[in-house]
Amino acid sequence: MMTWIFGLLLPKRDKEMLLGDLVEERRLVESAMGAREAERWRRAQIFKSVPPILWANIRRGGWLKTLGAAFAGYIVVAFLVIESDILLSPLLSAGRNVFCLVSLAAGFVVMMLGGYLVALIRRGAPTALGAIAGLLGILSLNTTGDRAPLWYQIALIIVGPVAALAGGRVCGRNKRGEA
Amino acid sequence: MPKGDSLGEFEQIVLIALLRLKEDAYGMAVRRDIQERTGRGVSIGAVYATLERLETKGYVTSLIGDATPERGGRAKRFFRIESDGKRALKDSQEAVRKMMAGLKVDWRSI
Repeated sequence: MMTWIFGLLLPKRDKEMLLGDLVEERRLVESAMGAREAERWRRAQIFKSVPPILWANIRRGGWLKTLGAAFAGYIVVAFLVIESDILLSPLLSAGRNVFCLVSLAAGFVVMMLGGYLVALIRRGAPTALGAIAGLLGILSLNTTGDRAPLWYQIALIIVGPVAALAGGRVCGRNKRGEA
Repeated sequence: MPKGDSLGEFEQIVLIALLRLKEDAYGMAVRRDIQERTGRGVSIGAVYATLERLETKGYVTSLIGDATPERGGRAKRFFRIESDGKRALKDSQEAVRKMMAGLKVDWRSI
């Protein structure tokens, strides 16, 4: 599990080689000091390797640009969702559930547009945008009090990431079509 | 130096390890060599991050070797110092030598 998570941080180019080095040296440590010490050594190596690997990822720019694009996209999406909710507010007279349903549909379209736009900047940004939307949805669960029904809050957690990824997919398809 | 970049201390150490290890310079060997000679606890992540930086600067090149069973079927990446790398290392060592010339420090007092 620990190695798998560590592997996610590694650049594709070096992943196999670096993990292979860890396996090979762990064997050497095991033959010299035993399995327990070898496992302790492996864990220490992984922990100590995380900061330089993260820093290298940031230097490479992949990570930082993707997260930056996703956060910028999220701010735009949040602004548009608030604006659309204000426009849709007359629907509240038809009932809270009706308003929430239409708001959810509008939110889906806006988030899909967000996913499309961030995908134009960075290929991995829709995934990051979806992760941000999902995470913030989970964190804000129940904090909206009695203003929003629970089904709506749960639907937001699902709809946000799905819409962002769908927007990214549409963008990817369009890009491939142009090429 | 191709990109006008000077070498950091760890970069110099890694380049020296590549010179020493010659054809057998891959991640684990470099890490062990540095640890054995300097006594520093170096992480494999730090070695790879430094080698990647040196490769970007054009000081080092790499090639992929065969997969071996003792590595869980994973391949090795072998690194080789290029002439720009040797020049950069020589310049860095030279700069330290020049700065130290004529300097009298009682190292025992540290």
